[in-house]
Amino acid sequence: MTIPLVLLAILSIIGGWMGIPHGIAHAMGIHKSFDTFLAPVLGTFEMHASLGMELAIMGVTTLLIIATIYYAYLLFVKKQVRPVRDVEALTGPSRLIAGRFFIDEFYRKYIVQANDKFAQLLENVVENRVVDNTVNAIGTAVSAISNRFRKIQTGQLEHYVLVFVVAVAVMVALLI
Amino acid sequence: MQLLPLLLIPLLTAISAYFSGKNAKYVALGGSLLNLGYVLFLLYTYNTTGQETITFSVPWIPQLGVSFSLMLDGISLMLTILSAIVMPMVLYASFNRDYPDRHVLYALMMLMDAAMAGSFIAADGFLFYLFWEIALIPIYFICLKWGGEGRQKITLKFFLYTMVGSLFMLFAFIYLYQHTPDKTFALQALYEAGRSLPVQEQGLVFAGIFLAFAIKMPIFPLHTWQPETYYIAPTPGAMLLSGIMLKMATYGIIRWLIPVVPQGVAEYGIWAVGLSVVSILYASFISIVQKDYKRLIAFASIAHVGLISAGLLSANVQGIQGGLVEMLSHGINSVGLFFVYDIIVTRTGTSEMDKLGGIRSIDPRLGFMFLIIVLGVVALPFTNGFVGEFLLIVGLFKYNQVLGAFAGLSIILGVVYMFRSFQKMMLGEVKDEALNYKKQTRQETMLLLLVCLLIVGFGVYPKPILAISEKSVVELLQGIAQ
Repeated sequence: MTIPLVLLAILSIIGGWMGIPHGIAHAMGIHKSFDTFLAPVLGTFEMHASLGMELAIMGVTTLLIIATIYYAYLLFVKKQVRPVRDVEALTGPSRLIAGRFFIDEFYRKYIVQANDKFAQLLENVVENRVVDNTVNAIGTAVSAISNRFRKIQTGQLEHYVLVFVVAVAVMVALLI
Repeated sequence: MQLLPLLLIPLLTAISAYFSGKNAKYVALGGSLLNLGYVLFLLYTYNTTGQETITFSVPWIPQLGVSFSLMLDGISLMLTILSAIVMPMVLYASFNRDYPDRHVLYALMMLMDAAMAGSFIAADGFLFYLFWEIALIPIYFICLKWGGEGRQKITLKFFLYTMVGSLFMLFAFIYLYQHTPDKTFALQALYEAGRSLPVQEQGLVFAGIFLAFAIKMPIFPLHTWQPETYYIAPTPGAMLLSGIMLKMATYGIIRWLIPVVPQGVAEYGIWAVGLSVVSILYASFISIVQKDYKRLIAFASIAHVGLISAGLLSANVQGIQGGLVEMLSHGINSVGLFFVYDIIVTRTGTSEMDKLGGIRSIDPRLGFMFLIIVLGVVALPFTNGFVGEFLLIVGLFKYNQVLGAFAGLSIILGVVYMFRSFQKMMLGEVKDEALNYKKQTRQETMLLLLVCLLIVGFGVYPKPILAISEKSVVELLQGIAQ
């Protein structure tokens, strides 16, 4: 594991420079190195906050990190608090953090299970009931109709003569 | 004359196989390899001489304006290559089972090959219809004689479904024929007749022809024959149906639909594209909940073919080129997927995924090769599936961004159902059904290796494949635009 961690550490140092505030980069004279790195592919974009805003964001972020480190120091080093294994026993933000913001649970419930339920619904209702039954109904209807028409063939000569005479009469009537 | 061997080699092989008794499989394989060699020769000629279209035509039924006209351009060549590559693989895959009356089986398979090849090179509407119908007869008997439980009812359903669709296509062709000045079914004459029709009439012709293709591919909600037929069909039959036969319909969209009624496609095509996208999503979702691996492949095929249909009907270079490459990829991947099914079922007696598990730990080689096939199916970059699907989605996105975005979901859903099937069958603890699982034979390894090499080879270097049809596709679209 050491080598991958070393590689990641190196990359994180390099990666950090990509997002260096514009004002600082300008002051150091290195802004062109990063700003225009992907210009041949993506074109150039002139979009950045003012120096004051960038410094303010950096300052607030840094303060938050220092405060978190200090809070962690108080909690785990000074007071010797040990992390609670059972997420259910916690409340509020601690529960949220211990449960890793419940992203996995959210994903499982609202993406995976919802997806599976929808797929099952399609299979049970649309595929098996609607589509299959419609197709089968067409087949059944054809069978039923042919079953009715089959009975026209009675095998009795009188019936055939009667149909023949009626058909001739209809044709004559149509022609006249 | 150069085109006649494409029909004669499989046809003569079919006759020879029928009279070869127990050696029928070797005769059939030999004939299909000879055919592959001839197709590669044609490809070489096509690339080196710069001859764009090879034609052959003799009058056949002059009273009806029917001629025995064949044509091979870049588009037909792609499908001919697909058929020539897949056929020996299907035949070789069938070697691991002893089928009763094998001389009849192999003769029927080669007869079907001849009919499918004919449909890919026919340049006469009547002839195309004839080959389209002839191809149906051998597969009907293959499923009926060597199929699984309930085959009588299911094959009849399959046959009736396809015949009904074909009838509409025939009506459309006859309608076009009546509008040709010389009363002929010749391809160019039908193109001119179709293009001269008012938009609404083009729409009707479009609907008639598309219905036949939509059933054959199939597209939702005309698909119900397909999962059942694939399920009961013997493995070589399922491979032929999925690997080659359905491409008659997707090829038909390029050759017998878009150029015939271009305005009809432009005006009403959105409905067909929409239906194809619904088909992609519907089949993908249904695949997710399938418990049987073979039924899963059947629904996955509907999803992939829906994407091909939508891309082709976008009627732009990317869509059609993507469709052609995807047809080739889908043919190869289908053979791989069905062959894995056959390997597992012959050893465990089941294709229910919940009953299988841990096969990879017994046969790591199968696990590895199956994974490559799965990656090809889910269109991972550097696999054959990626090239076609990427182009299809680009083409579809250019046509309609919303439909393109929905169609793009097929890749994600494809990962869900394919990876789940892989996990269930290959990973985890060895289930009871797989306890006595025997490792692959050399024949099985060779075939799967070939499938994997084609998947990776086409994925890494797709340029020669794309180059085959590029010029013909551009010309086809230019012809429509004029």
